[in-house]
Amino acid sequence: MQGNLEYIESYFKQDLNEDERTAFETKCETDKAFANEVAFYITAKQVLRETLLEQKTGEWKKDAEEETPVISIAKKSTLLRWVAYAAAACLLLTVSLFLFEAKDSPQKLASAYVSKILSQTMDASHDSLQLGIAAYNNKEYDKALQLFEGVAQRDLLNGDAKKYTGLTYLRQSNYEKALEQFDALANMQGLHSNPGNFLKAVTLLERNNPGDKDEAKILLQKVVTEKEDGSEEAAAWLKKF
Amino acid sequence: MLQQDSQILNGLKSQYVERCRQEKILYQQYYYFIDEGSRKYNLNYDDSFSAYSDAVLSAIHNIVENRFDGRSSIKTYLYQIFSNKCIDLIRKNTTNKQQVHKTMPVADIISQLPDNAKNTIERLVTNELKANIKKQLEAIGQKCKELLLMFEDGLTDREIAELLSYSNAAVVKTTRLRCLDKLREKVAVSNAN
Repeated sequence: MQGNLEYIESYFKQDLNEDERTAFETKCETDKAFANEVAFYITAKQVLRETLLEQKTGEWKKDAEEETPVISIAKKSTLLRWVAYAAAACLLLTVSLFLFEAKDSPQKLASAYVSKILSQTMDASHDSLQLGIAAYNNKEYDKALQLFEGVAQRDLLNGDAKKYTGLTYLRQSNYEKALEQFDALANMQGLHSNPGNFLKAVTLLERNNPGDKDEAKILLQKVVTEKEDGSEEAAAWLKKF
Repeated sequence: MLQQDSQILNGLKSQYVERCRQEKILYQQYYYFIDEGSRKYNLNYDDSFSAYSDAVLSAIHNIVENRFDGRSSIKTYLYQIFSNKCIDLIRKNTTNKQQVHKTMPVADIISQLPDNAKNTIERLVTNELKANIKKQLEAIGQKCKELLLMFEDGLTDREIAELLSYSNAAVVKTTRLRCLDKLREKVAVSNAN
């Protein structure tokens, strides 16, 4: 049985190759005794983490109480807090005016689109993609990436996995990786709808390096001409360039 | 990167004694998040405190295991994790008030499994199993428990070998897995009784 635990540990440490991983996953579904061991392993990990947290918190808290307390933001005087609120309100007003003025710039349009498309399409339920979406919406981008990339690796023809992976990289401002994903998506054949080129344009507009705007414009024109996904937005944006 | 952040990051990735020292510094540094959590998420102090401690441990593990890419300050990174933990806690509290669950929220690692296998395993992860493992963890001996906790804390078998004077990493791995198996056997015996 110790061998099984080593095998289970290797799976979760991602030390197994693709065939071994598949065999492991099948065994979870077909071998009840093995499934019980996996459940034990996962639960034991959780118990150990909680025990560790309890121990560490005890030590940290003890030290925090013994040493001189650090100056806390919560201890600022009421007057200072109100001054800070007033300053923040003025700043907010100025920034809002600036954004209002600049709201039609291509970069702003791209950012607004990303916020809109994600809040519209990403609602959570229970399969891996949806768990990734939930993680994304909670701003746990690393976890979301792990889930989306997991699906993309297992199912090479899954366009949504590529799209969501790219969008998550875009949220992290990792433009190169986002472009890689959207490029791969744009090259996928036989999809019912393919927003690859449009999302590449969005990424370029957000990145806003020299030459990006021109390249985005060409892509948007292609999206409009070939009536690809995002053609309506692309047409509207091109008018504002 | 802030000089203070560099010190903490380097300290967390160095020898265990230094790592522990930096953990305490990090914990103290942003202790005021607890007050903010209480205010912003309307949590009581204990819940906010628990979310903060959990967030600090997660941040430390991510840093130690090189999952923190350094694109934000430690403060921003930690606050993001803390906010997520607060939201998780609110959800958990709300769900617990609404219904009684037989199964418990499972660890993040289960998300590595594909959906079918995950559903099978999720059904087997119960509060009863968790309580039993917690109880039997105290029965496997202090040395075994310490070994398992050190590994859970992100130390490699090699680092544990150095700290606990084992001859090499392979010996630690064998002993560690034996300890885990001992725990599994004790849980099975307890279930059978």
